Amino acid sequence: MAREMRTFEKHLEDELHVLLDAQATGTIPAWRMSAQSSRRVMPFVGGAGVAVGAKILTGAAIAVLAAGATTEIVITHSANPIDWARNVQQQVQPSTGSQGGPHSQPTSAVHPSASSVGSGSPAVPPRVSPPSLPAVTPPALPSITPLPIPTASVPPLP
Amino acid sequence: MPEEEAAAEPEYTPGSAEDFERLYRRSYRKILVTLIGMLGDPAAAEDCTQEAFVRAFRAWSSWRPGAPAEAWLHRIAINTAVSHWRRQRLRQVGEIIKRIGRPAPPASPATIAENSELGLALRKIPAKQAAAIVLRYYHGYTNREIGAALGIPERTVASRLAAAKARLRVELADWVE
Repeated sequence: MAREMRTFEKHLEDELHVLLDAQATGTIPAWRMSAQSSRRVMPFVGGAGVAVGAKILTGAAIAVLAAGATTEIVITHSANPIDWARNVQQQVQPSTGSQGGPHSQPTSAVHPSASSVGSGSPAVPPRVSPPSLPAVTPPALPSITPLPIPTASVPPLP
Repeated sequence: MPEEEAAAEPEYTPGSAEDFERLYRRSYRKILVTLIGMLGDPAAAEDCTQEAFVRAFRAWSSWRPGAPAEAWLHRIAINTAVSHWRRQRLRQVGEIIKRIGRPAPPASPATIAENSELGLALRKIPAKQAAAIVLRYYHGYTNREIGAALGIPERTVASRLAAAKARLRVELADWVE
């Protein structure tokens, strides 16, 4: 009986090899999961990723504009952009007016030697004074008047 | 059997994509052959093999290095093939009912190749018994590995194999004698 079983098992082995060996020689298809997982990321990059990026950029731009507007309001004490422009003009005019001083003279007048090229004396670099910074006054704090404290009146006893 | 398949199973790190690709290349053919033995249809076996590897990749980070990786893969693949086998049986019943009174369609060329007597006999026994026969007598798996692949205790494997052989002996009565 045991011998018969061993013969049957040997038959099974041989027949399985006849049946399946030809199937075991095919080419192995390339593993596709890595491509699939990278494809899974791409829609986010192309769709929602772009949308989120655009929102972040828009938010940042709005924040910068708001900060600039706040600064102007603090400097000019006015929310009107016309006042901001006027303030900028006032700040710029003194500095342009100051250029009409000694620096507005022709170079030859300041440095006579500059007219004679190659006279031997080294050229003196022009002195540049930085424009004066605008004085920023902080906005006045609103005055707070304390509310009168009610005095407790005792009702007359009957 | 190719030389690289006969070598001892290398070590793998759970969750590593490179290691999974190595495991895929090493065990793809073995899994495919087991499923062809179970299902008898190379095209269906190939689909189930691919599906099984996708499922295995999703579960790869939870694989425990103590368990043999190939047996673990076999377990996923056998379960996938059993689900396919059940769906196929239901479809066949529906087709038989629809076909009553009409001649049976000719067998497709893809399934003729494995319609040997053993191939037909393996399709008549339960899918998990067919898998046990292929794992033992084709791949040469131990009881422990077969137990891991079928999801049954090691001590149950011998009785499962005995039952499978008894069924096959009945189906192959003429062939054996």
